[in-house]
Amino acid sequence: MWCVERPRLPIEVVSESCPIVSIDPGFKQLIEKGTSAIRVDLIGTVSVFADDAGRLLAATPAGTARDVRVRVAARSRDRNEAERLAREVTALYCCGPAGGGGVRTALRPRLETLSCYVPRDAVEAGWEMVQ
Amino acid sequence: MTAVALHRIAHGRTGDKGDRSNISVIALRPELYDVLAAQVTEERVAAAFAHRRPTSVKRYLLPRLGAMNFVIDGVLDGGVNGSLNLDTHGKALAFLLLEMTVEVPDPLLGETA
Repeated sequence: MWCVERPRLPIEVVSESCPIVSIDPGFKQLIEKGTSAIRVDLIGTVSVFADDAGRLLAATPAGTARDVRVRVAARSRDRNEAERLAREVTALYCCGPAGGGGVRTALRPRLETLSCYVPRDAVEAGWEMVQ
Repeated sequence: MTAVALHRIAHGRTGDKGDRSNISVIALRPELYDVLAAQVTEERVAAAFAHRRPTSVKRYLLPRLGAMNFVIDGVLDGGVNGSLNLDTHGKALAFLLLEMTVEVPDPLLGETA
């Protein structure tokens, strides 16, 4: 039982000490309600099947998994905020549970896209030969 | 009748476009198709994905292929560029769907085992 309960401890540490990650309010309206700016997975228990808001993780009881890693992901418009999350995870080296298996972090630029319709007459279709 | 996981009688693959997931469910043998059509319904698929809050689930039947196609909207947390999931395309989601339980007549199941 404790094997899955234990990885949940660093999740709480990161969430409480990193409340500043946020989504631009204008963009937030365009994505599903309840979508969280910070996502936590327990790889080995529930990860790719889960949702960004963490509903499936929250509904998953402590099981008998013995080989579990924590993954935390967040989006932010502010590079400093994103870097702060990486630092909080790195801090688990010293103040997290034993046997964490090390910390690796990555920061990458993102460009989000949305599907939409546009008026047909706003789209000009055609071709031209260029020599 | 025996209750088994859907992956015992079918396979599936996932595609995506924007915040829309597209999942095929294909009977491993033609005679298993009727079980799929009767039990793998839009309602049950919506329930399997409830934690992702689908905005709509539409099923398309392809009896000549022994298959069905599900178009599930709003389950990719914004889509490939917006999701924080390791699996940004949701390619694993066919296997979430294939965990569904179905009741299969024993004669049909015997040939599958």
